[in-house]
Amino acid sequence: MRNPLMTGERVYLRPLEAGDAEVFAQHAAAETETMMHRGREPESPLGLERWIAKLHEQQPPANIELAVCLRDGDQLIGSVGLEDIDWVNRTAETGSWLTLPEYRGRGYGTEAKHLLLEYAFEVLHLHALMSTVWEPNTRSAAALAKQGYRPAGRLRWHDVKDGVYRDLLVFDVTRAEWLAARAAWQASRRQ
Amino acid sequence: MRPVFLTGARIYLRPLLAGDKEHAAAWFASPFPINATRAETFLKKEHQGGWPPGPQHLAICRTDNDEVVGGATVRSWNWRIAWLAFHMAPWVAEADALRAEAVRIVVPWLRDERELMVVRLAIAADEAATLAAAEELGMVRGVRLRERLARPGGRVDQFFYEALNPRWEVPRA
Repeated sequence: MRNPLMTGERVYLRPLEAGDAEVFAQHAAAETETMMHRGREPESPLGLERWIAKLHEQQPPANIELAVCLRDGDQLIGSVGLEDIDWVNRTAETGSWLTLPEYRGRGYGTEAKHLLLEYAFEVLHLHALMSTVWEPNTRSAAALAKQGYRPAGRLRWHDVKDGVYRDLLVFDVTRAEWLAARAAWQASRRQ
Repeated sequence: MRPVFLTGARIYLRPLLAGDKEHAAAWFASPFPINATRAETFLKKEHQGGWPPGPQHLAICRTDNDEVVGGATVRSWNWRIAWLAFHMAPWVAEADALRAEAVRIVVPWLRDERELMVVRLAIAADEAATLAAAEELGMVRGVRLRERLARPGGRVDQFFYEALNPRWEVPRA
């Protein structure tokens, strides 16, 4: 493992490095999913490199983005992050995206997100987190429930898909709810 | 400089000026200290793009003596949906009432005159006057985030309110 911050059974989280920009750009070029807000987008490694550099400029950071890597072989398969961290109110918004499609729907994302929430609640001692899901993305909404998130409402007319306005679904989770969800998830894996 | 279209009974909103660096605690949206040097850097950076502006920053001032008592920021990535945020000066006792008046001024301006599609605003559950102002304007509570904000001795929820512009309403097939 390279510079791990949080370690799970199959994946670990590490800080993003400049060289990851090229890998993410390659993943974006090979994207198969069209469900994102306005479909797929090519990403320049130049822009991604600047994004990674900016993540490390501010201390304490307002945003923390971490690489999701396989323990076996160190391959970068996506990223998870905390955005808009409020160090006074101890809250943040979480996000995650497995950039390699072949690892979606196989539990890697759930494991990475639990590591992110463990980092948020047990290392940074945040109190509550929120997350949003683009309405058509029902798979992500289901995934959030596995981490203890509960529906908090919706932001209407967020963007257009298939010619009609679609909403942004909002979820939130407290530390106690995440601990219960993680225990249930771990028990299900032992069965 | 007092825009006639952003003026109410007790307050008005105006663009930030170079001299506002001297009282940044009133308008800068952070509980952390910001001195005049950093405020000047912020003001230059936020306005270096010229026109059209990026995030729009406004000072909230008293109509009777021009004292800056807060700040408002309008953020939008597409100028169809905007997030509106307020920061009130820490020494202002009637912060909730003044914020409520600012909401009554700014939301109709963005929705009805600038014809934004959606105006969004986060309001703490203990900001009763601001909540009342939002509901008077027809804003809809779309989201409730539990225990979102820290207060002395406990935590309170935060709500996201939205003003949907009926001019953007389209029939669904």
